[in-house]
Amino acid sequence: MTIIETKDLDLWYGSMQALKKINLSMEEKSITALIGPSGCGKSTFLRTLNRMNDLVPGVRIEGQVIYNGEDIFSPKVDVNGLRYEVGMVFQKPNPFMMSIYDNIAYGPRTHGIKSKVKLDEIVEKALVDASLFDEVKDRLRKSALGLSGGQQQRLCIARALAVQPKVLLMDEPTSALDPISTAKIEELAMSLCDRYTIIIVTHNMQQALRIAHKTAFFLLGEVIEYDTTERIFSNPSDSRTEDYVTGRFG
Amino acid sequence: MRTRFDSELETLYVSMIKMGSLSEEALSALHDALTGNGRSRLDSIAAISHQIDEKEREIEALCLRLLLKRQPVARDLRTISSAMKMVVDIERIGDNAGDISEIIPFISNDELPARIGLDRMCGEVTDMVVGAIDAFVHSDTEKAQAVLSSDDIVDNSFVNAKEMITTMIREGDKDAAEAPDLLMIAKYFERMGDHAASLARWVLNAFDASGDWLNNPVQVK
Ligand SMILES: Nc1ncnc2c1ncn2[C@@H]1O[C@H](COP(=O)(O)OP(=O)(O)OP(=O)(O)O)[C@@H](O)[C@H]1O
Ligand SMILES: [Mg+2]
Repeated sequence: MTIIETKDLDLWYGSMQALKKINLSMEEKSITALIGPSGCGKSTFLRTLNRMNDLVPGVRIEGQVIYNGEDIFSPKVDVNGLRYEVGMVFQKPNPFMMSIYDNIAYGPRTHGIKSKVKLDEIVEKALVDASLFDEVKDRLRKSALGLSGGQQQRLCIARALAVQPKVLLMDEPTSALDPISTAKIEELAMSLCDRYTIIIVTHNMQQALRIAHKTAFFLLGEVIEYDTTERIFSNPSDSRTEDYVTGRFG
Repeated sequence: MRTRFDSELETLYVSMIKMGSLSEEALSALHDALTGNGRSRLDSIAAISHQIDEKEREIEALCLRLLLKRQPVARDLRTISSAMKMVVDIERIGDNAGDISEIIPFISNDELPARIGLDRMCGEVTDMVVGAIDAFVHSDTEKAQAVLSSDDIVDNSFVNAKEMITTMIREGDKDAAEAPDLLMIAKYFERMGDHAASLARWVLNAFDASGDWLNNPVQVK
């Protein structure tokens, strides 16, 4: 079933058009990879899906993003609610300057949850789901900044999970990580995708191959090809896709 | 950008062409012997077949190294994996040439093979092998398709040869004793035609964009 669908989505930063007529539909509980050369609009597209671009001055958006059957740009939509349901994990881990526990409890608290028992439960579950619990269970009250880069990234995933999202947007979540931490995040993404929908931007072709069900190739603000990952990396139908994935440009 | 990888692929193409011309050389030696132009070159076939085996190993090693180092995808992956399958077919063609070269000396009447069209079969198979390698090197799917269709020609030639051989036996021809050897040669050529057709299918598998590369591996008849 489709969970997010864009219809003729255009986006301009001032006079520069960064997205051109994007029509993509993402399956629920699957992993979709977005690939393409630097500056082709992957992050812009990702940020549009939970209206993070609203914060950028001079942005103009046309077209629709249908999430759960509703246009996210409709005035009825509660943007904060949307950002909880469609969470984001960034390239550089960005834990808050507070304890591991408080990082994760932050979202639920702003949601109005005060019960310590309830918060303990949420924090533990999020850490378990993010495959981090065993590594940090003895230092939940210590600063999150003391964690390694890979652990910080899983903490950010746990933080996103704590508010019970439906969709996780990940923008190059492993590009700053070593191979082992990368493998852990990839494992994590694959284990989460039976409950969550994941859309991930990656410059690592092998990563897209390893984890994504479908892959979209972006070029100069357009989607050139969107197909199963196997097809994109074995026998893509557009020669520009083939040239990009084989490293002939980009 | 990726000039190093491209020159490695160039090496692969050159090796494939060399392997193909070795099999062409073996077939040409057979052709001479089958048209009564002398059997002197037959002795060279064993050595050529051996060189073909070596080329097969060399190309396989090159392909494995490219898979390991380049982790190829898309066209590169399809090219390399097809090459790995194609060398197996070329190696078989070399073996079959060796088999035929061992039978020919037992045929006492050196006009016989041409009489039942074995020299023509040899030429047909040669065209197929050369065409398939050429199609691979130039990613030429039309040429590969043409090679594939000419397998019927070889099959027809085999049926014709078999009929003539059967007639020889039935009519008690003075050369009837040679019939089993002649039939075996015809059969080997027919097998070579199948391997050449398989070569062409691997070219189509690699370069025909409409194909389902993963799920339609080439079937050898
Ligand atoms: N806040 C902004 N204001 C103006 N232009 C922007 C802004 N953010 C991005 N752009 C421009 O929009 C285009 C798309 O940028 P975007 O960050 O979406 O690319 P990307 O595909 O994520 O690239 P990368 O792989 O380098 O992260 C670029 O030309 C970029 O310069
Ligand atoms: Mg980006």
